[in-house]
Amino acid sequence: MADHTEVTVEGRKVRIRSSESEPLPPYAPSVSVGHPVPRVDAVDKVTGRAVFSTDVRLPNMAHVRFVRSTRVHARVKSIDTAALSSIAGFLALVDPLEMVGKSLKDFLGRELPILTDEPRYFGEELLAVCAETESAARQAVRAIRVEYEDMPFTVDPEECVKAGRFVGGGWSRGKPGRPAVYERGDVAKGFASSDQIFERTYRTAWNVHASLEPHAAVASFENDRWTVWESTQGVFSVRDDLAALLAVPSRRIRVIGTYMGGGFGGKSGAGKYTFLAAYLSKKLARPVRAVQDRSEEFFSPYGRPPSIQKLKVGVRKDGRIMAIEQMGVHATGAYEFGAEWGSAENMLTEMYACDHVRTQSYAALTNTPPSCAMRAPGHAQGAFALEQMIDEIAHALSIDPVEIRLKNLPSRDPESGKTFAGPAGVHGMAECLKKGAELFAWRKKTSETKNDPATPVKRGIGVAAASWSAGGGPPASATLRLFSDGTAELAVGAADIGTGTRTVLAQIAAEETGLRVDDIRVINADTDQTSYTLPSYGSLTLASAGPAVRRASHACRRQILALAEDVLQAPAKSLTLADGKVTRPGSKKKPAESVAIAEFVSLSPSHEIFGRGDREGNPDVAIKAYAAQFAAVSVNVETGVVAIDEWIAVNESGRVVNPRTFESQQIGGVTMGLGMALTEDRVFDGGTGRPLNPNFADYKLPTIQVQPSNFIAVAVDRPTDANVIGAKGLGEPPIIPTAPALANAIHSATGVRIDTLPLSPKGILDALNRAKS
Amino acid sequence: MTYPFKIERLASLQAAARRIADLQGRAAILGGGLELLDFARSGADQTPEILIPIRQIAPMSYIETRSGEIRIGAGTSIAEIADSTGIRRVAWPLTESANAVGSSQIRSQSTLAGNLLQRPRCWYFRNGISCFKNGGNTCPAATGDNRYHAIFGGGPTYSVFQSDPGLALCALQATLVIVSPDGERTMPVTDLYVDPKQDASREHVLKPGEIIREIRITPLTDRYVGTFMKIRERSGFDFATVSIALIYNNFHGRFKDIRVYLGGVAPRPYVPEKALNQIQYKKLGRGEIPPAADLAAEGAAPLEHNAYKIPMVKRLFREAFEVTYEKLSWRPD
Amino acid sequence: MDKAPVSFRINGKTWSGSVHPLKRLLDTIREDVGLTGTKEGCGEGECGACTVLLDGSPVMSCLVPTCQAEGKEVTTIEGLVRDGELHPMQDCFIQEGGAQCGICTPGMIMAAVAYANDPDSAEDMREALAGNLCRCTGYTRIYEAVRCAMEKMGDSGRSGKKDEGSRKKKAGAT
Repeated sequence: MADHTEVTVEGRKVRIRSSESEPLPPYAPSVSVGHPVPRVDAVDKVTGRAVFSTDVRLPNMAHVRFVRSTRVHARVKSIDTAALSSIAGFLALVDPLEMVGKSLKDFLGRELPILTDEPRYFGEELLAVCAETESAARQAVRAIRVEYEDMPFTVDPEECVKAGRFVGGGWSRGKPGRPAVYERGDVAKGFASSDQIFERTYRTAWNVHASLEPHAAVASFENDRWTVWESTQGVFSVRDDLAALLAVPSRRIRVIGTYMGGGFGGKSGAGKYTFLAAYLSKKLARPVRAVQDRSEEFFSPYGRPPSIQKLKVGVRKDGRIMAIEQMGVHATGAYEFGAEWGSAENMLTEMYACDHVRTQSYAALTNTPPSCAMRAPGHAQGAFALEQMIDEIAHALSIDPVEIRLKNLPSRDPESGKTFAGPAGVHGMAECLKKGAELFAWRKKTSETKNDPATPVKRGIGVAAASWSAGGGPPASATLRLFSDGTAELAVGAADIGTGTRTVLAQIAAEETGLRVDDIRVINADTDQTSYTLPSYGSLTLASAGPAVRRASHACRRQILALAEDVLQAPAKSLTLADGKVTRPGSKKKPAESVAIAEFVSLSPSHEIFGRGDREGNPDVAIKAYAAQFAAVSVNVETGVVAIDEWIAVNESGRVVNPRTFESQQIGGVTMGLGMALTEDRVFDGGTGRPLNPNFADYKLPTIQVQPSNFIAVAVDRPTDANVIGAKGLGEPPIIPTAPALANAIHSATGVRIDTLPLSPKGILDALNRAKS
Repeated sequence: MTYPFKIERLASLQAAARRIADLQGRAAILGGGLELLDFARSGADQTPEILIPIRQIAPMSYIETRSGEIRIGAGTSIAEIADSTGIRRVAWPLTESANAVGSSQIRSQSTLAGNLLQRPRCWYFRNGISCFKNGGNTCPAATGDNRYHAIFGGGPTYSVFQSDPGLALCALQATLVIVSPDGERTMPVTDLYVDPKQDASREHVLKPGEIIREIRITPLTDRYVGTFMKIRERSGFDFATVSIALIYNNFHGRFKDIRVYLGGVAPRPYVPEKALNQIQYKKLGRGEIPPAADLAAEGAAPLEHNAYKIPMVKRLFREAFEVTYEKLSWRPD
Repeated sequence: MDKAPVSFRINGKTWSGSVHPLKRLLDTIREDVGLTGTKEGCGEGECGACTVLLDGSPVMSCLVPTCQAEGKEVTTIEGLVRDGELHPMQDCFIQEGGAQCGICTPGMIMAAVAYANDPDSAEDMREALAGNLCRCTGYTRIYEAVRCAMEKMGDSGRSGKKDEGSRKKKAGAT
């Protein structure tokens, strides 16, 4: 672990010592961790009992809805609200004047106004109305007449860049009018030492998170305090955002997000609707509900921006990558807000060993909703370019696509120069590639996949890989309370966004304390009842909260053992904790003896055993998770229809705490990747600037029929030494290699490289047609 | 949800027809209600002020055989059609088309007449962007993002025909029984759809107050083969990118009485005349199919973004013939 | 806004109230009956989250005018538990891990129950569930859960099978 961190306090640079973490015994779980324990919340979910934010109904609850811009870029000339007075149940109107100075902020502090009278994209929020019923609120929205003065617009990112309307993408604020540049080594030198140079431009499409539960909040203001139910990945970030927007201390806000219907990066903080619900709940002194329609999910600042990536890679004859140069443009939307989320270059700078890399990132200020993090932001786009390029190079040099990847694996993190987290030895990506190749029978299929020219259905195979920083880290903490009846309450701030966080954390607590998973109630995502944690994003939840839970549980374990040593008359290390009991093994003299954990809790001076754990700092190494995917497809070259015959997904994310939830994350990620690859394409019309498919009929998510007929997801279960549970994150890695693996398989089937997403029948037929002419 | 509707309950279909005719477009019948609630939410289409629930007036949901015909009530659900043994036996392309509609829920909820009269899926129209079909005087798809639009018979509008059962009913030469204010009449389903050159604002010829009461089909004898096929962009729950309904028979060793209609490619069910003429009356033989298929997209006038439908049309035409050819009770090869 | 009396059976009990005849059945169930297990995912009949059974058939309750439920039997996710016992479909969704975030789960289970009750109602299970979107699971565990439940339910658990055997392979290029 790094011993010191340098920080700035009141303008002064100081070094603060890292907090000491108690060393824990080596982790050798056996009882609960590593088993496919059913989800602890499954009964609530299958009975309809789970209350999501959209289900919260409070007495006297009012409803807020937005008046959204029906123009793409305009100035509001006048607003006629005369008809509102005749609408039964109309309660309040909020206009931009009332919201002056109120804005959402991104990671770099860039702002997005709550309401505006100069809309820059179709659907931007102009006014908010509040009414007794949702129906009355809708009527009120329709009753308001807005007159606009139209202004010029474009939804085309390349046009914007040409016109100079862009900012640098990436993680720091660049200079105005300049792209964000990353550079290591000297690409000119790298290309000079290359035997062959490959160039191609790739395009990825606009996606949207499409969580099945829309963005939603219900706010109630009572006794000078807000309680907000929000469908969110991070209750604490919602609380902090609201505290800033309402200009009140955090203690006056409670945010609850126990059940939430999907996030994928789109629900990381408060939304405009959250603030309005909170604001109006105080103003009207009654609870206020704000729920977005499905179409509004497409008009709001959410989604994966589209990218155009010009990629140039130099290689030696033996397949070694010598230089990578990339120019990336993405449509970040009408505000600088969120410009960091579309940059695809990180994939190129971190994946493979290469001394000479230069990337430029342009975030084009298109008249579209601002973009946002969406599952593997940037990487999913970058992989579509890089992993196809690697495939192209492999074919050109007659090197096996798996081999060329193995050949270019870095021995240290190419960006930071740090060593990789242990265990030392094999590279996680190498393990994924080798295991996948073996399961898929890659070599055999490579030699056997031949096509009959007479049939329009062509078979092909493809592979792609990924890496993602997935070490987690502080801040995260947890508390565990054991009661005298042998049950317990585990409190953690982390949201369970469907990944199984509640379940795996309960398993970690059960493993450490000897309690049964069923006896542990998990309280999560409630700012009043749990301690601070980062939102569940970036594949960091398990690796952050898991070690904190183990530490909290270990503190309880020690208290149990201290009592057990006396009661069972045996040294702690000889005792086992499992199945709700502490057991002293039998010997020749004495038979085995077990005492219920409940007994020890009763004996404890506080009649309750309590433990708190804080996430230790990470060691000073690079902690990555890895993925490789193998695809076999059939492509009908006359209809452009792709059938997925076989899919193998391999992930190395450290220890597998629950094989069932692990596999579900893999399959779910690949399926979302297949949506990105095959059909998902959020269309903004060039002529009118309007979204053309803000619905699930025309924005096509994968259905159960898209699922490959032969779909295997396996884990490389290799605990990391980077934290005390050995697990890394798994949220993003499964989606990253999917689209390029599919594109590579389509190339293998058709001989044509399809550099533009989605790989729809149209995309494929158009590409085949271009290749012919 | 806002409900700008009033419900009126009337005693007979005839009375409903008269009332709707009197109110000239401000009233409509309520069948399955799918399009109604969809549009009411999006506000993309004018919604009627008065609705007349039709299922309570007369039995509208039935499948029966009478006078040598299959008679299907206009309010019969797509799921009931898909499930009907009788239809499967003598009008199987309709069964196949019913199975291809939406999802199991949509099939349970939507009526046959509602499916025939559904408004276009055009994404300009559905998003309320001004066009011929919502009171405007342009078709933004003509120069816009027309990837899903017509390659045949377009102009001035380019939205495409999307009813899967509608296409099958054309091939089955079904007849519609229509109640109008002045009485009842019949009409071939192939006459139901209007050429946008005649009227760009609507898709069918029914006047306000005309209600489809029943659909009649002459059963196919076992000399006939036929099929309905559909290419969709997404597996499961998707509208047709290109669809085909095909029926023909073996007449003394020749392809005869071919009825072939394409969906998803033209404002109306489209007959690929050149291809049809190429194969009609030819001696049965597998070899006759590819030359005809090559002509299936003759006369296509693709827009900027939809030329990809051309190879699809050819392939689907060929597959439909090849699949059905295998089912002929006698074939030379 | 003219409300009108409406009455239907829901989960075995009669419910009578006064709502606009065109109020979406989904809203009537959630707001007036007070059962929030049925979810709204899109409000346009495209995601299946609001699936309930209407006289045993799966419908998207967001596209059903309440007046069309008059006199009918509505079954929601809350109605599957009988005498405190979970329905086999619910058991199998737990056992097989068919639920992730859980928002699509009630609708998915209702569509699956409709199919398990009448396997002839669709070409196959995937076809029967193609109208229910899930953004988390990738469907594999859902598929396994439904398969498990159908085995458990066996023929005895289902309502009468259709006179015909398995239906013909549906045509369609894709």
